[in-house]
Amino acid sequence: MASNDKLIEIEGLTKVFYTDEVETHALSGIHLTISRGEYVAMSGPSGCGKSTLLSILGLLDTPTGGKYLLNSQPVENLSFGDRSRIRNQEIGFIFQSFNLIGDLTVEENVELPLTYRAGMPSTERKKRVKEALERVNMAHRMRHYPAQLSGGQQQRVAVARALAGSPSILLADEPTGNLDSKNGEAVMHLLADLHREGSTICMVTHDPRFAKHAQREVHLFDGKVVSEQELKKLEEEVEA
Amino acid sequence: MLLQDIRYALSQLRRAPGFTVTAVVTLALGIGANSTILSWISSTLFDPIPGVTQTENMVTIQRGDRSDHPSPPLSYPDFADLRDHAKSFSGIVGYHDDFMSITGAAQPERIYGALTTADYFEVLGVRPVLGRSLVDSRANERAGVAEAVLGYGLWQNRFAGDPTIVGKTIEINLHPYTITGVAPKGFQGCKSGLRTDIWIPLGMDQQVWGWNRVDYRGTAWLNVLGVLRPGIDRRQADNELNLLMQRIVDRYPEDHQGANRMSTDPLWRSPFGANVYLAGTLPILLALAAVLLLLACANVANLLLVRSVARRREFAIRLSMGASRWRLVRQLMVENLLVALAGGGLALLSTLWTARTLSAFLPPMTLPLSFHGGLDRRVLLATILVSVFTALASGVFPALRASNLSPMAVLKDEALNTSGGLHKSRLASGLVIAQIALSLLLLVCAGLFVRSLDKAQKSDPGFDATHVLLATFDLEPMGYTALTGTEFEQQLLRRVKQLPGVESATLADFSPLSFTIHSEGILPEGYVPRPHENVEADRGSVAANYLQTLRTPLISGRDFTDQDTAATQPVVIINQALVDRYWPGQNAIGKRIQVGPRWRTVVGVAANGKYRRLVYDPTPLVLMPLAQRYQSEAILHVRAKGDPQALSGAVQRTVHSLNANLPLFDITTLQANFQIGNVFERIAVTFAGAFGLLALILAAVGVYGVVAYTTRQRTHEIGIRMALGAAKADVFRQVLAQGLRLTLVGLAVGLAVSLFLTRFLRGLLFGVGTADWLTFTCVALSLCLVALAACFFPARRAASIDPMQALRTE
Repeated sequence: MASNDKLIEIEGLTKVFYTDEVETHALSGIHLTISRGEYVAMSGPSGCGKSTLLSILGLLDTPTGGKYLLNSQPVENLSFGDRSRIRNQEIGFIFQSFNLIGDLTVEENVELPLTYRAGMPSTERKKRVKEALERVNMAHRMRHYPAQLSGGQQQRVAVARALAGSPSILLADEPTGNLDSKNGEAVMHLLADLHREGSTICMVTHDPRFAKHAQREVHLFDGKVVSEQELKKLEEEVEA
Repeated sequence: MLLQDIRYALSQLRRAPGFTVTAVVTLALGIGANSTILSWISSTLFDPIPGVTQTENMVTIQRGDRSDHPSPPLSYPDFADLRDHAKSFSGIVGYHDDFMSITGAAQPERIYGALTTADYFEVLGVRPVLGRSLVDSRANERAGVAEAVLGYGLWQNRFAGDPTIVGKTIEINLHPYTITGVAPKGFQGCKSGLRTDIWIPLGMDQQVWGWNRVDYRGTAWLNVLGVLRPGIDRRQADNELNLLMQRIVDRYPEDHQGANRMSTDPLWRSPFGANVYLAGTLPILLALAAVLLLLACANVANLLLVRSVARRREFAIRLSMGASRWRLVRQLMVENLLVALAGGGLALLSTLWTARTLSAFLPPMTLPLSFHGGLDRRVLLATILVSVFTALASGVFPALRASNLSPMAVLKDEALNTSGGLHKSRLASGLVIAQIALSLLLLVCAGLFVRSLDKAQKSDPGFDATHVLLATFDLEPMGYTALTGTEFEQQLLRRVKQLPGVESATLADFSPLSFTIHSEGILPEGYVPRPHENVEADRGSVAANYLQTLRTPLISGRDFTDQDTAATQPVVIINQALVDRYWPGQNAIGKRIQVGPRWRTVVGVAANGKYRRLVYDPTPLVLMPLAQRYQSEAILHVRAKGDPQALSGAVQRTVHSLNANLPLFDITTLQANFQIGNVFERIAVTFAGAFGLLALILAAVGVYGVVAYTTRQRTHEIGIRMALGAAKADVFRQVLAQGLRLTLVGLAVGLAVSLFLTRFLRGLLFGVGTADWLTFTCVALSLCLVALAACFFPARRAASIDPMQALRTE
């Protein structure tokens, strides 16, 4: 489901880490555009900068340089509070290790991001939680705690949590990394279903099989976006 | 193997100096509070009359209604009859103590002495360090022999420890006495907390104080102490004493009107001496100190919990190498024991100083009150036991918790996944709730004591204590008779009144709130006492214008004047409490009342005043003109227009213009007597307040520790929340709410416990209920604020967590 409506526009994005006077260029001039309804997979070898890019896209981190427009609004220099608000309303995270809170039930976990929205009534929250859990077929486990669920079920709850706030985009960081292949496939099918229903998804993965589920694949190498051919060539050079 | 545990424990404690010092100091505070109060209890309640070793079977004897300020119970003839016939006692001693003076030198030296029955030292088991005790012959008891045994302190201070003192003569109240011996160091007489400097045979009453009370069955003036025979308990002794007393009463009914029921008290709570006050205060303080110790234990238990998390990997390795859980628990308990013993050692060191602080509460005063605090074997043993208890109380649960882990899970770091949240800190949270509850209890007790003292100090004592100078003198040792003494006193008052800056002046044989007033049996005209009713009143001899000088309101009638002399009609002023009790609703003016042997006519009714302690309710009082009931020792009361102390020099010069050699004692102000009148309340307030403050600090540290610990444990969870959109304020609020939740639960538990336990303070409070809402509210709010302040820093730290970093801590 392609669209010309640009949700994310990135130009010349850089990220430099400084440790003991050593500069590490995690991202070096990234140009990337993600449109509404698009399903993008970011892949590349370990340390190529894909998780850093996802953190910046999710406003968990700030770039060192470059431009980042989300919904046509510049977001690279927002305050912590504004970034929190946008994260809460526009972005849904799906983590590799699920990151559910052990003391909260499935229902409470899914409700959590909605509790940070001022003014949303409890009834509205409950409604959205129920809908989100039904979308991932986990409504029957509302009262359970994460420890009582399998890894695949936990990730489905994490997806429901990401969906509950009706975000503009779902950012998934290696969503199958902690799952066996069967559960991994199930989660990928779930993401594909969500995409078909209109969700914008940006997924980081190092597994080419799962990357194929996406509409478009973005390859990163040493902090730069490269084509598939360039990536193969660079990987061969490294191996050599 | 135990030695190996100790070596390893020492090495572990050395490696964590921050934890070790904090834990040792925290426990030292708790143990030190207990060892301090225990040292006071040991030196007062357990050792009521220093220098006498076997006091467990000793009792004091009281006659009449139970009172914590009873009159001496027996006349000498009654005492002799009881002593001769009572089989329950292996020995009974009688004594009367009061001030006397060593004369013969340029200026008399005022000392506190006792007239005693013949075998006083023998019954007590006290052997003089020099010479012998008083003549041990009951045949001479009534007639008396001019002998004296010196107190050790008097021998050292006045006679420079003269080793040849025995056989020498000293002059007491102008009469020569041969020194027969010196009492051993430490022995200070039969009354707890009161130091006697000299002992003289009972029959010398006439020479020393100008009375001849040994011959009168109706004059009760002897305090009595008995030694129970082995196998006899107090109830049996009481029964026998009552049987014997009933026979005496039946035989001499005229001399035994009023209540004659006999009862005994163990010395630790005897109403004769300071123990009657300490027996109520010290156990309460010990209970508060025990609460503080529990608080300290909870604090250290929390420290141990935090420390055990840091040592999980070490424990896992030990378990995986074959150590049993019991072995691990033992290792941890050895560490705790070492910490507790170090805390106990530190506490003992501090107790060397704090044990002596009890006497620091005593302001300069007429009575020679004397408390000997110090470390003894009892305190040492108790402190060691308390330290061991502390190790168990603070260490068992953390040790069991620390040793209950899956080694493989820990070694794989699975168990260190920290997004699990609060369930891992339930024990720590429980401990904080206990700390808050215990702190609230201590603070409420402290608050109630403070409010009680405040109410007492603000209560109307029935007189105006400001601007009144007091000075005491004793005319007997200077050779004055009743006639010349009365003349001297009248001249003195005339001259003092003429001094510039003096508004008025009077004399009395007591001053309010200084434990110098006595009580005496009375018989109001027309009043028929109920069977066994003790008809008694506080009594004082005062000069003209006493009520005016003290500004005690006169309800009806008149104050004494210079016209009330020995030659005129015997008169008396009574207070409203006496009217209310014996002549309710009647006009007392013109009625008669018997005080001692004489009937007196009531000429005035004064408003009620507080003459013993501020916290006592007003009791009946009779005041008699000094000229009609002469006392050689009198206290000059001078009301100044300005600062009373500024008159001190002029008053002394005036006294010495009449007699250059007459010493003036205890020159002070009536305002200063307030310090004496509430000394036991101040002890309670000071220590309960200190315990409360420590409790507040420990609770704050406890709340801070647990919130900081759980916040650190939840770093990952906080990262997740931030990733999902939580703002800094949300995280800040969440951490504060966690602390507030614990605090509110602690407050609820603490309020319930306090409401139940403060009932036991009822007897120590004045003008404030045990459920005083103001105290409870202020304490709860203060504790809440302190807890919130303690949560502030962990909350701020949590709010500044970088979500990226936090998510990586997984």
